[in-house]
Amino acid sequence: MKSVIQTHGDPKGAVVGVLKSLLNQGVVKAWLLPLSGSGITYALVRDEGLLEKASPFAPVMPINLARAVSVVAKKGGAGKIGVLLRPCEQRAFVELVKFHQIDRNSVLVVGMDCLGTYELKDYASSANTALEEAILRQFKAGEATPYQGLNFRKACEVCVHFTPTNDGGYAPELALGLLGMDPYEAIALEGEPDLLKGLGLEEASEPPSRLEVISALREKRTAKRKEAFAETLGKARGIEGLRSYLSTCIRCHNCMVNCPICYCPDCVFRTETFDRTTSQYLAWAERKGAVPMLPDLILFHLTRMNHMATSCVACGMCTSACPMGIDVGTLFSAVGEKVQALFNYVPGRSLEELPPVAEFKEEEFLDLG
Amino acid sequence: MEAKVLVIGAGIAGMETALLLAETGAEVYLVDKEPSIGGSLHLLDYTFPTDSCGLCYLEPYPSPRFCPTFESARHPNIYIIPYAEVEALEGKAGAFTVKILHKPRYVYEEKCILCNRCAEVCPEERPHPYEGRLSPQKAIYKPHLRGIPPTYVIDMDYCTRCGKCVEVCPTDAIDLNMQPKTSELSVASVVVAAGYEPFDPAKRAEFGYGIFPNVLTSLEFERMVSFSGSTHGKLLRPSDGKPVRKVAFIHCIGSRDPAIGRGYCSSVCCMYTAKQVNLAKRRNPGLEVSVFYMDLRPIGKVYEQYIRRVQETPGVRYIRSMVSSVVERHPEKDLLIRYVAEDGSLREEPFDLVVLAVGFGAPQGLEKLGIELDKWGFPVTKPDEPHKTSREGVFVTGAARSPMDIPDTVVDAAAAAFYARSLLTQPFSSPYPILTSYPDLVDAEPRPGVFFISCPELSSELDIDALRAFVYSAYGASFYALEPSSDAWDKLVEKAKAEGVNRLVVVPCGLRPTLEVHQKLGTLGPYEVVPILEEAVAPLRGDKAKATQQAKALLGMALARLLYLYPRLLAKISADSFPPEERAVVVGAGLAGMTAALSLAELGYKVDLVEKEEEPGGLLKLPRVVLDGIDPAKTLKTLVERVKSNPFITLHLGSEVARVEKDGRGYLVELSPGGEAIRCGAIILATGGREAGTQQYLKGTHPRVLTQLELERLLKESSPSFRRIAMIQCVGSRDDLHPYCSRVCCYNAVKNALLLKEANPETEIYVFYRDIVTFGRYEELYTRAREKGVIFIPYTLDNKPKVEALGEDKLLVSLKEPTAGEVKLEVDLLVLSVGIEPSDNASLAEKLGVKLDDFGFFAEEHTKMRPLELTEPGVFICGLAQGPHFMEEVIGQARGAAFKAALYLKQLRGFPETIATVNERLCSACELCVLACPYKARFMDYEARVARVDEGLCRGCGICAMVCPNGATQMRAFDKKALMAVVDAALAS
Repeated sequence: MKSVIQTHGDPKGAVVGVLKSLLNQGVVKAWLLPLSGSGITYALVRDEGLLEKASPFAPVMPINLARAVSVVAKKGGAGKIGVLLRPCEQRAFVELVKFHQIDRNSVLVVGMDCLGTYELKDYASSANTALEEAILRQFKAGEATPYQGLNFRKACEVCVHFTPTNDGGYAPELALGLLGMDPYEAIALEGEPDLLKGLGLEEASEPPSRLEVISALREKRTAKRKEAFAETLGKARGIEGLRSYLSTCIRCHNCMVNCPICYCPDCVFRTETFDRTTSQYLAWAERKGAVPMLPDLILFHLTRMNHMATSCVACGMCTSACPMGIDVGTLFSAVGEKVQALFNYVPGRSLEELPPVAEFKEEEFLDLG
Repeated sequence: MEAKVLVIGAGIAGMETALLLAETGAEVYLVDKEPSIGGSLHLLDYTFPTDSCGLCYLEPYPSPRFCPTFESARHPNIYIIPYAEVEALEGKAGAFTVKILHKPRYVYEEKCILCNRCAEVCPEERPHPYEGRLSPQKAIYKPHLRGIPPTYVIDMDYCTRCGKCVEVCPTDAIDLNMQPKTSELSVASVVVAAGYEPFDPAKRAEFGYGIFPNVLTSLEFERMVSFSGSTHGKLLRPSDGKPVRKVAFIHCIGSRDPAIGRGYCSSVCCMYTAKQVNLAKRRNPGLEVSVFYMDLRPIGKVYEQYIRRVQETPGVRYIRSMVSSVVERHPEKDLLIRYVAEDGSLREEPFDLVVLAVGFGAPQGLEKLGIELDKWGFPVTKPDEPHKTSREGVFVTGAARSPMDIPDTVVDAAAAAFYARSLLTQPFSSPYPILTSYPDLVDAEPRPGVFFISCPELSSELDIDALRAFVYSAYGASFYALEPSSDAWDKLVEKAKAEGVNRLVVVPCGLRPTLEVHQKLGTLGPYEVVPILEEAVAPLRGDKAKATQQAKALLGMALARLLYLYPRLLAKISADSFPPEERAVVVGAGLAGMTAALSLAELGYKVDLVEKEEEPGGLLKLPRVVLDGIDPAKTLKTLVERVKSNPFITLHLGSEVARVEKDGRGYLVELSPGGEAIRCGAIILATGGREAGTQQYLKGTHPRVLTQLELERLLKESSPSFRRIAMIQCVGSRDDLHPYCSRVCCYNAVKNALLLKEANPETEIYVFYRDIVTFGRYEELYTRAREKGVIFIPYTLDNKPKVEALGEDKLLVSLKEPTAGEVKLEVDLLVLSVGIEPSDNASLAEKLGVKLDDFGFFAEEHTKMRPLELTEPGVFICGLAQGPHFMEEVIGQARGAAFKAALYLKQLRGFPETIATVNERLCSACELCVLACPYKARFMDYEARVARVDEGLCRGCGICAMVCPNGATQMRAFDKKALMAVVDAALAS
């Protein structure tokens, strides 16, 4: 069912009102969402008063929130947690549900349109209310222009999955529609009829311009994405290209720590599998003359790519997390897109589609021999 | 009573029989007349219908499933006696004495180190038995690449005793004066698995074999299309080595030919020819192929589709014809085939190459066994006990019984094993002990050692000091050189114990560790046997530096695996932690089910026989007329009496399987109605089949249209008289709805026609057919029917007979004929040969987690090598549940399935070497392993949020370890750390 929230010049207040109402009705036991204070912090909020500080539109993503969802709601069974997710977080959420890292029934998802986010440090050092208002003002026309002197995160600039619903696939319980709307007047709200009715909202359709704005933006972004992916794949081509692309990597593993798809409790690179003896290292050194220390740089990235490429949601958190500014995200999502196309798999599209790695087909890629 | 069995012939039938028997604890002598075992198996790179190599059906499970040739050789209960023949068989069942003649090899197996120098200097050549004239062998030769035993042998027909080989042999392994020897064995039973004698086509001179170089036998052509053959898969003319562009295959050479005393059908040539056509087209897609045939006999479930696919391949023509001669044209040495086409015209056509599909003859030498042989030389058997020869205690199996293909042979072997085993009194014992039972090494410091059995070959071709230095500096391993001698293994074990070595790398020379040695090595710690002779010395002979480098890599890989294994993965698990349930459930109490239940009971197992109808019997209850086969009515009576009085069998009538639960120990089968729950370790599905319904040809609307079964009921109940009868074959068989041949209908039609003719010779009988599929001995009946005046008229799918009603008691059957205009017959009875279809198996399949094939029969685990097993371990099939079969075949299947189930019931579950294991700290509970496991051995512990392994179900395939992203799941003794170290060591070279 579709409906509209009148915001009367205060979009944040209107959305917080909805969140409060769901908390008071007992639909959710707590909200997992960004709170503003000194900067933005994700928090699990039980106290209704503290919800006043919720900052649903702050254009920043300290982490991919799906990771936090998998921490809070891994096992479930203790009631519903409400969670406010951007589209890339929502798609990571879907993947993590499929990998049994989130108990689906313990979470109520509120999705939202997203025009882009800034790097955390840019956001922290700026006048953040101005950033937020600027972006809210851009939804109507669907033009994503970063605030003067700043850039959106790289992944956001080429993002084509910026709405929470997709045809026939997974849809969150509630979805905030901002594109094509003026959030200072009204926000579209789509979702389960019971929830909408409980909120006292009537059936109402969004303005037709919303769809046009979405498709125009998608077209623009698709072209940009293609260009960016081609450029990155060109740079990282072959083992030498890859070596040079990753040459400043300091092996901090931040990309892996911040990746929502890297759900392992401990990465294989941090297990005894990679414990080697002095004599092994010496043997390498003898064989090659010299061995890089620490070792396994390319192997780490390739292994991670091998493990998560089919489920990469292109949220770009790896790039944001890289202290050396390596654009890991564009490389991984460019490769991910190719691999996903081979399996006709779109991560986050549906809860029913099994991740390719979980499905064994006897006859597959026969042309590869 | 002797607890031993003699198996004659070490081909597919013999090896399979021997392995099955050996697994039950019986000791088996496996005798073969050839210098190395394997029969025809090593000749076949590709087998139909999967076109896959049938040899190495890889499965890491402690049962003989890797490579039968290899497994037979290493099984502790099998004594291989190659290059020997049975001279005489004395005594009686339970106490036979066998006289064996050992032919001289002229080479001592224990001395030969396979250096090939003898063959290099040998001046004499012998024609290769299969590789054609393109690839002769020396008079001293190794039978084939991976032959077992691997030793050389001299063919004295070609040897001139020049002595050059003796001079050059570094180990004095050649003795030109070796004499034949005899020995005596005592056995309780004998299985004749002597295979077949391929027909010598030179006996039919009109085909030019042996005269024209471009005429080959099918076996020679098989080698030509095989990559392992002398042309490496290239199709080349033997006369000039030019590529073949146009090839002809001629069927039925030495088959279906009463004029030369071979009036039976060889059953397999239609299919192997189709396979060869397919392979030839793959090698050379532009190849023009013509196949000259009489009838196509696709008698397996999926063969019809296979042959149809081949027929529809562009450039392939199947020509129904009689070939009268093959002549060579000069000077190009093309071959002109003259043949009589279907329309009766005489035609001729030139080809580059002609392949003769030679038939299977009975093996030679069977008369020495004192068994009755039929006119073709096959042992005489009874229809209801088709594996028993005229001499008690002597059984026959495989192609030696009747020509048959590999799947049927594998089934036959299991049936023969059943009979042979039933004469042994000792109970089934658990299969041979698990190969490696390491000491508990969790806390032990690894102490690696390389044990090098230094024969002259290894010592002269390798830089031993460099190897010694390498293993010490790179892996801290000590290096022990041992002299090759018969007690080398004992010395090795002594040395390792004395030095405290607990990670062993063993480099044998020509010596191969026996199973006993393997067990001894296992008690010391994890070990690797590294065949440096074959993998470094032989391929790089003469280049000491390179061979040494290669040897270093091989030693490094072995040491890396042993050194970097996680010690915790080596913790012992108890092999007997899964006591099997020694009880079986058989579903379906027809011929298959009752026979299987009785067989299991005979082997000492309790059986619950579940039948959904109120009375047992299944299709046996139908009224049938009998000519020379099994009498269903008599069989029914005997079986039901025996089943009902057998104290081991509980019969559940009017019951169905409601639910199945399973774990590592077996199954819990719940029945409905009643809800009774049975714990069992194995399940045999014998759910049977039925006559397919049809509405074609006025069936159901005209009273004078019957099915063959309805005709039999009529003949059983009265003696009707008809003036003229038409029969139509393949109604609801080999069509789009039932795209398989039902195997039995042609025989039934021919049998019924003969019975009708016998009752009233005046009755005219016309049989409209597509192909008459009277394979094997049934062919004789077809010949007899034609002699008695039954008329056979071929039709095709595009041109089917038409049937019209002419009042209440007459019908008009007509068929357009391409040449003779139209056949029009007024008949007073039309009999339709409708096919067999399976019972409704879907719900049972779902409950068991097994698959059905495209036709609704249960899908075998492997159509070729495991035709009685399903993908679910412990579940077996027999009878019509598997596919259409004759009653005598069903009996063999049921015996075989029972034997395999009994074996399974005794098998230990779990295998410490290869099963999966979980590091709980690392497990993210993502369930990928659970989804990926094909054996349902992985499951979730939701309480602890970790994935676990049912060690009883795990077969060690490693798929779970592959999908696990962070190595939480690994394979015992094949963990990632060690494997990476192995790869690293390999890259080091």
